[in-house]
Amino acid sequence: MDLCVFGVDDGYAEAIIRGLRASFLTEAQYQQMKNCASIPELKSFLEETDYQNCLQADNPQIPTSILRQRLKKKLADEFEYIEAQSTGTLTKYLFHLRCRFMIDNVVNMIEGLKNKIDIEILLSNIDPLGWFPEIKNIKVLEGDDYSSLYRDVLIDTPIGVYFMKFLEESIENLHENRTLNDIQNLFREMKPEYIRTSLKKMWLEDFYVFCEQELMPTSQEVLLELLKFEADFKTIQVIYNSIGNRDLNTAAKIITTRKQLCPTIGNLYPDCEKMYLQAMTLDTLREAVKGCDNYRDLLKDAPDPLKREEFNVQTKTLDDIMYDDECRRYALAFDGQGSYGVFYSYLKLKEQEIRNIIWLAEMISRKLAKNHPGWKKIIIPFSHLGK
Amino acid sequence: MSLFRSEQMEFYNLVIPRESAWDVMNTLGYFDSVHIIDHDATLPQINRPFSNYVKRCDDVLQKIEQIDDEMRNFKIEKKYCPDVIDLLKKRNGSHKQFEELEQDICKVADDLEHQQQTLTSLQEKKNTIRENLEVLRNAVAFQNEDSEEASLLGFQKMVGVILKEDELRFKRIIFRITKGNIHVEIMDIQEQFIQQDRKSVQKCVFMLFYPCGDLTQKKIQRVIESFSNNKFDIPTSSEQQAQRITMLENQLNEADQLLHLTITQINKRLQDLSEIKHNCSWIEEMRILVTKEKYLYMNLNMLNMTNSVFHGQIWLPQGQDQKIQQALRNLHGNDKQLPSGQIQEQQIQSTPPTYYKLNSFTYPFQEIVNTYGIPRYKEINPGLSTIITFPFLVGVMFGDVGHGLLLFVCGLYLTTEEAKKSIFSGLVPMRYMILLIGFFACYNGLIYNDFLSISLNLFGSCYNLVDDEYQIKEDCVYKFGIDPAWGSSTNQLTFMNSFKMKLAVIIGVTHMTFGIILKGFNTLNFNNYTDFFCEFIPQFLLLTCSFGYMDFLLFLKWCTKFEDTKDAPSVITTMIDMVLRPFDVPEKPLFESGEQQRFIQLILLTIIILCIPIMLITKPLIFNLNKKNHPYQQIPSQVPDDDANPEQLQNDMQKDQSQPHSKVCIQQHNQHDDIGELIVHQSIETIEFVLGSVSNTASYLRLWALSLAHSQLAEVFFSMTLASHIGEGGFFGTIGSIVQFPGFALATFGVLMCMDLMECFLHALRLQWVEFQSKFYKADGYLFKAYSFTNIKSNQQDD
Repeated sequence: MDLCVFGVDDGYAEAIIRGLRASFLTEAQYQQMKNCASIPELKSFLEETDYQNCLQADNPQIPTSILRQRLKKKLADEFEYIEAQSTGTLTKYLFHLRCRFMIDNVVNMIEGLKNKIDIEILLSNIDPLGWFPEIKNIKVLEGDDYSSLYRDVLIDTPIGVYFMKFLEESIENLHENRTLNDIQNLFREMKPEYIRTSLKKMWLEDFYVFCEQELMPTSQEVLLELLKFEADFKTIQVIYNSIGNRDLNTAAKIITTRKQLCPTIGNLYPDCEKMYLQAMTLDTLREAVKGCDNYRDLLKDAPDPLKREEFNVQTKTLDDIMYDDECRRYALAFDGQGSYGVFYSYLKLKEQEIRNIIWLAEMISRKLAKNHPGWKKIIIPFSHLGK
Repeated sequence: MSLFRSEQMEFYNLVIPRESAWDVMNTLGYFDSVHIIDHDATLPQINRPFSNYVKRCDDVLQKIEQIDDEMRNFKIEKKYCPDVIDLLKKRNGSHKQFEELEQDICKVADDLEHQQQTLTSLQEKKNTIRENLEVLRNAVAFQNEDSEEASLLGFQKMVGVILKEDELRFKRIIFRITKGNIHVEIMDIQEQFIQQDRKSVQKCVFMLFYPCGDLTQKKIQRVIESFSNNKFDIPTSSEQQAQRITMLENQLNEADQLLHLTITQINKRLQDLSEIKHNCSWIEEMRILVTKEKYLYMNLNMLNMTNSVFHGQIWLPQGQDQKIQQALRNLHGNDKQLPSGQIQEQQIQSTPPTYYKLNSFTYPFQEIVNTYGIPRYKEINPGLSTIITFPFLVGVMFGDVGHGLLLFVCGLYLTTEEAKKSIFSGLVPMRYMILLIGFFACYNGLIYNDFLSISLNLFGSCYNLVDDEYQIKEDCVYKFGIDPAWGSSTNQLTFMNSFKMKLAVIIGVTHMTFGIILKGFNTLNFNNYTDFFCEFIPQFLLLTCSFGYMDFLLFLKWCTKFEDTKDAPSVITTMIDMVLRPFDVPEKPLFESGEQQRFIQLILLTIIILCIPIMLITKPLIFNLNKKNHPYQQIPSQVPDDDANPEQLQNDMQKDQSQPHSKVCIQQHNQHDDIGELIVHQSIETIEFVLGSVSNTASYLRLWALSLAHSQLAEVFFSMTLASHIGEGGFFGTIGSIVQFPGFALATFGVLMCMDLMECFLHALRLQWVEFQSKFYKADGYLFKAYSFTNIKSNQQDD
């Protein structure tokens, strides 16, 4: 039924996205990019693609960081345009998508300020997709007092809700008779990466609920499926990364941390929760997730996290494997009709494309030999569909 | 004949030594007749020999665009170049000219940018001074009122400037940090600030009063820093304040003057750039010269470079080679040392492009044909007959003298110079088509005798009104079209419908037969006798024996006088009986005797039935026999030997082309596949034609349907608005018709002249494409693209 009325409000936005499908680089184009010998050559190649306008004003020896910024700016512009064309639920939905980038930006700012990096540099490095006016005011942050940061600045922002929940949870976990000092200590020791993972977990759960409650059945079907997988991947990633992590020395601590960071949605939760929380080696993790889908196959090729020191640029890490699988799912979701999955997939796939370009740019600027395995380490959106 | 079949093409090798590449290309650009073949279309631009030149041209064009933007900002008028070729001929130089141009333009652009920077820095400076001044003024104004009291109470104050749009956020954050223990005063600055990106923003001065305390002060300072970068210190004593204010005011004045000066300088500079030389502004002249340079290199990039010699292949229309060779020979004039480019005739290796010389009259009609598909090389171009058939078909549907005349007048207006400047300029390329449609609508309107739904009595009706009854005059025939007396008869609609329906079918069958005859000419031209005998002849017979016979019956019936109309045989029944009961003698014969009619119809039916198997099987059969006779026939080699007669080869080529499943390509496949494929293809074609001849004929009934719709609409609009008032007459009738006239005019214009015309146009388009062109048109050619400087347009024409 909702397919009949989908076009009434969201047809135009969807049509724009479908048109933008043509802007994805093709396999042949990636091949040509790999053949570029220098950054200026890569740049002039990109100028013949859809990225033409965003690069024209730059000087040919463009640093990769600026290149990334330009590419992201283009994506953000497109997204903003679609946002402006959307109404009702779609607007809310698109805004939710943005929140993920806002979280990244905020955490990056906090991290940068902690390391005493100049605010101007930080501001120039933020992802344009997650820009919001209050972001400049994070500068107000003093020491590690996240609660006052929340109270003063983030309270009004869209991600304020997540931040508040995060603070509440972290304080709750302290022992009963906590003092102000304890809280401050807690914040001081907290790693930005931890904040990021927790915030994103909350965002994911919140977004899941939003999709469940507000979207039409077709969109729901597509999106919940995608989000479930994303949540599962997050869970696996958290477990995987915590295996052999030296900061978490006791088993109890590992389990509590894991419990905090793993999303409470997805195919793995709650059936396999007990097992994966206690997985201390890669094999037990494999055992824990074997019941669901193709996770076992994914983990089969993953390198052992206990031998982390031996990893090098050639290793196909868990992240790479997951990106590959995700990319396939998003490409499928993109080709589905009449659902909001298109917008989500588009964003994800474009992100992947930018990652690819930046990776290639890095490879080119390091002048690595053409038979280096790193050249193969890109995942081309939509390439799965042909096979 | 040039529009009937495409121009004869010749294939040449173009060899240019690198030194004179630019000069040769420059010369060729003025000929309107070189089609350069890209030697490797998949090669990306970057890997081509002159890609750096193209890039440089792009850079310079971008600079020009920047200057142009600046001129638009300063609202400086410029003159576009009216005649590109003329300008290019005047400024014809050598390839070094571009370097000079590049330098000139870069210098101008750099200078301009420098001045721009000065301007922005001045603006920045002025902004800071103004902010300072505003802060100070506001602080002073406030101090006079009640700050004495505040400072006595131990309050501190902080002043600064923030963006107006940040005001709410600022207030909130301050409120939260101090837990409400603060007083915020916001004062808007009236005049807007111009930012670096030339947008103007509203700013406001804030003033904070808060109780003493280091902790809060630090925090507040951080917040303020995160909102704006400038810091302000306010002198304590009122004397110093006054001094400061006057100083700042002086500085502001100075800055203003400087700013003004810079702006005038930039303005003057830009004025210089718009100065008119060679009939257009400098900047436009540069744009065209650089665009030409880019165009030249882009085309040069299509050639293959080996050992500093460019090789390329070009198509030339017949008869152009002498001129080009002459021009190339004269290229270096007296200087014999420099080698010049050469063209050598080659044997044709691929399908030549289709090239017509079009003019503004033939253009829209050819465009209609090209939208469907580009004619195959040397195929009969439907564009020629379209010139008459298309407007005529529209005219049949749009038939009305009044509307036709209106359209004709519109077409006449579009042919004037004035129309090009008006908002109708988009219709100007279609002007001759509109003119012809108007003419044919008029003509058909005269036949239908319809003038805005009223019949005209032009030649004196053949009926006399006697006692409210019409009586026909003896031996009288209305001279042209339908007798106006029909307009007032009760069975007018029935009569007109039957008449128009018959007319539609007659036109349709004629149109389709014409298409089939064109197919015959095509097969003869390509020496494809199999198709001539196995497709053209049976198709032609099939159509003429079935629907052609029906047309004949229609004429026969019109020419026969029946004493009692009830005795008249129905054409439809005759046709159905001919197929279903071929051996019965017709009850109401149209011919003199039923026997005769039965005999003729039997013969026709036999021909029709014979035609179908001929179409179906002969072609695969002949093909199969040919194969058996030459089981090991070689695939003709792609590169023929030098002795071969080029004309012979060309004929062979044409033969190959005219058979889509020609021997050459088919022999590469498995034998079984070919036969199967051919049989399937042939049976589809046959079925399509046989069924098509029925459905296409029926399709032409749209001519009747639309003309009926048109006349009925016109009648309704007329009777609903004017008719009753005109009938009433007298004073009230006059007033009434004056009041109602706008309604009539609007309906006529909106519904009939716009919507109905569009509809008729679309239906005629369909008849042209589907019913007519499907009979013979292959439409798989590609267009001739001339390398010519006339393709360079000045900016104005793009808009």
